[in-house]
Amino acid sequence: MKNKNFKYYLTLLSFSGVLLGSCNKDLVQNNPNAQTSSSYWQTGGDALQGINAAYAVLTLDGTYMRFSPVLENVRGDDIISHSPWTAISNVDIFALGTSDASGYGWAYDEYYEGIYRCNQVLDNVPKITMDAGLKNRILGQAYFLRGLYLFHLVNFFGNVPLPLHAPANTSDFFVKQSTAAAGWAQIESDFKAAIPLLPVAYSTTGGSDANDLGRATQGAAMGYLGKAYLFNKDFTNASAQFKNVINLGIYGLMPNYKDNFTEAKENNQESLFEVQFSTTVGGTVLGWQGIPNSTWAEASARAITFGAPDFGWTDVQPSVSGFNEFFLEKAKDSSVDPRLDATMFYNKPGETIYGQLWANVYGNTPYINGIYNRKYENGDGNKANEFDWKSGINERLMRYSDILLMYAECQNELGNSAECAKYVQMVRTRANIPDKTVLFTSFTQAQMRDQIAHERLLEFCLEGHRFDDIRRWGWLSDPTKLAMLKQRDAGFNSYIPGKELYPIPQSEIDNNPGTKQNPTY
Amino acid sequence: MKKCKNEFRKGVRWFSLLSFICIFLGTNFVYAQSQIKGKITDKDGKPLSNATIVVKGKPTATTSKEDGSYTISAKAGDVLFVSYIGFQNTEIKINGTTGQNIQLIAKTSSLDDVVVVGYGTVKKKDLTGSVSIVNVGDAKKVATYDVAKMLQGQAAGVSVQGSGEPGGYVAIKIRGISTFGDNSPLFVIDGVPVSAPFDFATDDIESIQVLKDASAAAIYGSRAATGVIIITTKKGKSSVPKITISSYAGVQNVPKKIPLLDRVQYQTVVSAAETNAGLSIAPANDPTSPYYVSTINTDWQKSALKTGLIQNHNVGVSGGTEALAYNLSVGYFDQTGYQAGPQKYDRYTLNSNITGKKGILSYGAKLAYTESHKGNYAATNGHAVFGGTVTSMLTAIPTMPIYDNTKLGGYGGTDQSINRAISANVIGINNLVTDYSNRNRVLANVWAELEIVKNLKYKINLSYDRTDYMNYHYEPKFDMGYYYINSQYYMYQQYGVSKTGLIENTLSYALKYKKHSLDMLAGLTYQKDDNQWMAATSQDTTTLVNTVFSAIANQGANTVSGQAGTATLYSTLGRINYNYDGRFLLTANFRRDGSSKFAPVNRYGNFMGFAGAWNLTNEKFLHLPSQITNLKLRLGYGTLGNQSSLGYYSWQSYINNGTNYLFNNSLAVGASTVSVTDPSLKWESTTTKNAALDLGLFNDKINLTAEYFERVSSDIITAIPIPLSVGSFPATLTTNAASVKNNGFEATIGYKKTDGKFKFNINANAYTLHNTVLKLGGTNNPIYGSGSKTEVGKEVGQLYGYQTEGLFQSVADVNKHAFQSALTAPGDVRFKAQNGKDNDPTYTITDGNDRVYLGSAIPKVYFGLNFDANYGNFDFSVFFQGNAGSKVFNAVYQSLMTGQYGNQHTDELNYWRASHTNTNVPRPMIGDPNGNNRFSDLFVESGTYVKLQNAQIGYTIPEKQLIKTHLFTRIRVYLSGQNLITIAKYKGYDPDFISDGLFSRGLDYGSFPNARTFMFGIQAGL
Repeated sequence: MKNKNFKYYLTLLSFSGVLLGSCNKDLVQNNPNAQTSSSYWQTGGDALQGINAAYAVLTLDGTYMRFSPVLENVRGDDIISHSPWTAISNVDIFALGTSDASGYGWAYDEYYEGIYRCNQVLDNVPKITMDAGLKNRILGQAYFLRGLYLFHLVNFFGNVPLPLHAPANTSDFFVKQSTAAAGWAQIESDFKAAIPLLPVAYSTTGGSDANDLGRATQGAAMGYLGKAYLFNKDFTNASAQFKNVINLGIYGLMPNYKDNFTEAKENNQESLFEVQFSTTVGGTVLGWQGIPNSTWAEASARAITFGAPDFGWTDVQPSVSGFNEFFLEKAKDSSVDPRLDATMFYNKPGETIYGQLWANVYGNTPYINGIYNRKYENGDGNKANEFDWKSGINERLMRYSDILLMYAECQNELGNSAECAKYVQMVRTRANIPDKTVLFTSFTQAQMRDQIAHERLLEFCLEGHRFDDIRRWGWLSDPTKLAMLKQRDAGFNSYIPGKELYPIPQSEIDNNPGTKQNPTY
Repeated sequence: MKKCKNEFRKGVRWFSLLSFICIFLGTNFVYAQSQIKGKITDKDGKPLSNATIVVKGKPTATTSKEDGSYTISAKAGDVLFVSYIGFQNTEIKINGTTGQNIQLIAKTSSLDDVVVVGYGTVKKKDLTGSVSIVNVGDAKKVATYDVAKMLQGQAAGVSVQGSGEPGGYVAIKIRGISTFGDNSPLFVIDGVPVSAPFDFATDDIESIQVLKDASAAAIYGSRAATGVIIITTKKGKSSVPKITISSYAGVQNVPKKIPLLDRVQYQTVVSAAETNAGLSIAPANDPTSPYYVSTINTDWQKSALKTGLIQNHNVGVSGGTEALAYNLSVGYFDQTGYQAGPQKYDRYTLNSNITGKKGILSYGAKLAYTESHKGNYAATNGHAVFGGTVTSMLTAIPTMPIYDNTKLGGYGGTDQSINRAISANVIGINNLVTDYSNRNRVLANVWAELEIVKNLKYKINLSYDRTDYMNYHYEPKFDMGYYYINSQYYMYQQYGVSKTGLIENTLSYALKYKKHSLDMLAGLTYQKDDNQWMAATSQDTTTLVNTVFSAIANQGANTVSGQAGTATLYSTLGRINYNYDGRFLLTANFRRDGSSKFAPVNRYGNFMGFAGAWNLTNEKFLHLPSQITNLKLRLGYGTLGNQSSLGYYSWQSYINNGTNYLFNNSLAVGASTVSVTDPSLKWESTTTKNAALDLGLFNDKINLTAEYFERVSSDIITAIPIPLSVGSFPATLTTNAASVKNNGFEATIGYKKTDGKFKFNINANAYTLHNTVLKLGGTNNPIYGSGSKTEVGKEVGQLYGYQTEGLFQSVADVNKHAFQSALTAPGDVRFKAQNGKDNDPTYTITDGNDRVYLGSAIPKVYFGLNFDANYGNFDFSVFFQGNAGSKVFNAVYQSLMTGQYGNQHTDELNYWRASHTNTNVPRPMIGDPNGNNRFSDLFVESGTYVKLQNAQIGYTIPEKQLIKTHLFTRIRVYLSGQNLITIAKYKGYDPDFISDGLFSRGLDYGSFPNARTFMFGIQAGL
């Protein structure tokens, strides 16, 4: 019996042995859906696609697809929000909280997605053997975009981490929060690094990026470097950068102000940098946020969000004070400032909205005397309404008229009133507003500041600059100016010092140890 | 040596006599002896068909016929051994050569029942691990399509949460959370591990066993960390064909209404909210406005809730011979929703099993086919239905009409300026949007077992499980007012297939020597999962007449996407059961799994379990009193693995090549790594400890099992939040991060009275569950859910928010208190500032510093109680189930107490105003600048409930009358009610709601309430 049992054991053991030895190879399964990261960054083509991906964040929900325009515009005294969505309307009344990070939290998240992609380019592309010119242009764009994304982060949130490399392992995830001052220094450093690497234009570069309208140029980097200096009251350096832009000699004002906000005249001579949108290129699915996908549309949702009632959601609309500002000075032919008609829809004789007569559309509704956004809307007969969510109008982030007015502002601060007046009038002249160069030259510095404030509101209403201006001019801490703002926009009634910054999203505080929330949140 | 061999053979035969499969051993040999005839009946004289009669010590066997009669070759002095399910085995010595009528006595002890464990069976009395045997009869009284729902309250340690949505997901957990992904257990149906067990008809189930600890489940190794539920479906028995029919049909309703505002009340509250915010009154609510709404007063709850129907029919036929027995059944289940719209779930099922044995070869095959259709509730592509369909139904404003012929689509909506409210018309959306999911599933399995030499068996088991699914969504252009305006049709169609192939080879060997017996098992399995899908979308401003892709004129409107993946799992396994004299029992399990989901360096995981039991009843030295008929101590320890939460390629960092942009108005392809990954991912593991006592009293009329368990799950794979500043999407890292402990007591007690005309059974179970997070990975940053926080030392998903201290009554109150917001005023909620800062006006209340824990979302105790009784031909049963000691974040109530545009709970009428200050309902204010509606204790409620889940009364038609039909052998009719009574303080629809079951487990966001069902059913046999 013993022998027999032993045999059984042997049988069992041998079976097991046979079974154990096989099949390991089948455990190797490669992802059929995507290339592995470790096999990437080998060619110039990889580098170019890598930098393209760094741009792609500009079309996400928190960036320029929707919320950056909201966050930039709605706090201004020229804009109000009666949106039922508190992520928008609470911007207007400085009442955002940390329990719901919708909107501002998406912006925070997505600008860092952009920085991650820029850092991948900056870490990997220098090692690639490829055309040296193209390599420089790609690295220049990566510095520019990182500077641009950090600009938004520091401007919105103040003290933020400054990751300068893609994380190599999990311990790199916890980049310490920096001061806003350190943030500005990094922004300036990035734009400075970008300037010599970037071409003035892509029409002459040759290579696989030739004629790519929409890529960052030297002028754009100079303009943003100047703007960063200006925001830090370094008027000398700011002035020099704006002058550099002017001296490039390739920018000019469009004869028709309105051409800056339509699909027809995108990437025009007045544009230093703009976010590219289209309804005809790319997929059809609205790619708000998430893991990107080629089915995503390349369209903006700004127009529906800011759009007039019955044509869009009207989450954002001009304030009455913003509207009234346009009537303070008439054009040369005594008509209303032509920029008003490019900026707003309102009840005036013969007004049309989305190709229909205002009176017919709103005649019997409470909207009849409303004021609605026109800038960046498709409301001049291009579309029936905005309810498909998709707008193809590029968002102009930096226009030459901004360079001119920022340059003028620097000259005023530096005491060069004649130079200031000349450049302010340049922008007025394009809008057919009477020449007041002589008068402006006689203004005190303080008078000129107020004039520039007025000029900038008219020129840039709905372009997201107003609140930045208010803040850097110190109006929020000037009781007279703050009282004026409260009068112009009731949203300022609930402003308290500190609310000029958005809250840092709670998840950053929770997950990046040592991160401090902004005061008042 | 010969004696030894005989002993051995005797032992084996003794075993085989008791087990189903082996009863036909040796029946091929017929001895020329006298024919013994007789009849087998129960003690009331009722014939018992299909009882097994064996001549003891000889290979002769037969079964009784329909009328209980049998014929067997035997001689005087032989002993007939008769076995029949549910009756005690009986031996009768043959006295003469003629008739021998045998009365069988119903068995009260179930200890000889065979329990199906992984890769084999074991007698209940020999169990060492923690296994719950579900009373399938009780469980089947629940009218549901999903076996998981059937188990609610039926077994200690098993928690089930479901909703009233037809075909909706049911969450089932065994002994708490052991992973941060899918916590549903592994289901093994007829030996085949399957996911999505809801595809299969519950009627076909014969038995259900729940393996709760590692010593029981380690044989399933990497798959078993969340527990294993073993389901055996009905098999044929050697007999003439028998047909069974079971059917029920019933109506379903929402048993509760939530009190909501009517038109005038709504207009009053919202006008107050606008006035408080310094806004003009919305024209629709302003009696002085020409747009004032005075004629519409929609009761959305009344209009949207209707009566749903539920029906289920199943016909089965079984029979066959020993060499080939079959069971075949077809089923149909159909449930329509109780919310207005075409939503429903229906399912056709086929289940067929064949089994047989010829000599040393046993074999079987299974083929199951399911075709199901689920019509889903309102989900739109571009227009969020805020809070979900149920919450949106409740918050829909009464001044919105249901229908409006002037609007595109014909359904009513709100106006941006007149009503100012964004309000979803869920009736409109449910009807306009077509959204459904179809599933076709084939589960095929074939096995053969060869007894190579005596007691050495080789078994091969092949199975193939394939699900073809199609998800379809179409929404036309519509206009349902503010926000709900769709100017583009949207169509989505996804086709996918998931396939699982499995090969299992096992060798088993049984050995008995004197008082020692040993069962050994070794095996190898290889599993391959393949998934593929392809989806197309189309979106355009044209109107689509035909909603198929070929009908789309503009190809530019279409996009296509797809994905594929393969995962493999290769395992070796082994088990040894040792039994000494029925007194000492030892089990050791082992499994080594290799998975393609991990990087090569961490590919393999080893899992093992050990258990021992001491059967004190069989110890003669103890002299236990005769009332104690069973006393057993069990101890178990082991480790289980898990990888179910993990994607196929999660460890591999990849390049996303769809990060596109535009230059010069043409597409510029972008490629980048967008998500961070952890290349060192490894197995999750759960170590379990189990101690148990089984006690049977008074001939096992009373049975008690008490268990203590402790499970520590380590290296839990979870997406831990990482700083947003990393720039990854998602802003999480999937990694082995967390560790969680679950422990608790379980008790099951049963009493049965089986004699007399009035027979009954009581089975009750209760268990506790205590959950502690030991580790969260990285820097152990807490994980925040909706109104919850998970941190080390606390439970998963503990409720978390602000404490409130009533309302501010004066400006002075506001000014003395910690700062909340610039617009905080009397009538706003006073939130408690923590750390002694409450009365410091220079301190600002923040989420970071002032939120606190507000209660446990995990019940302290879960319980279930079944009572079944028989009196003559009547039977009656009730089933109570519930839990106690948890808190719920009632997000539905929160949505109804906003004081914003949107309908409100009638409690909101009690809002604070200068003339009414004695209240805890804050002033309504559009925009809610004080955040009165934020997560706070105002919305935390008790989750304790007791439900009368089922009450049933049945009548079995007496056989005397049935005989007249010459067709039926059994007819039982019954009336049943489900979810009849809920005892709870809860303000929402139903304290038994479905949530994410994890980090926001205590959040009721608007689950479809479980329906109250009344139904009529019939069970027949012929």
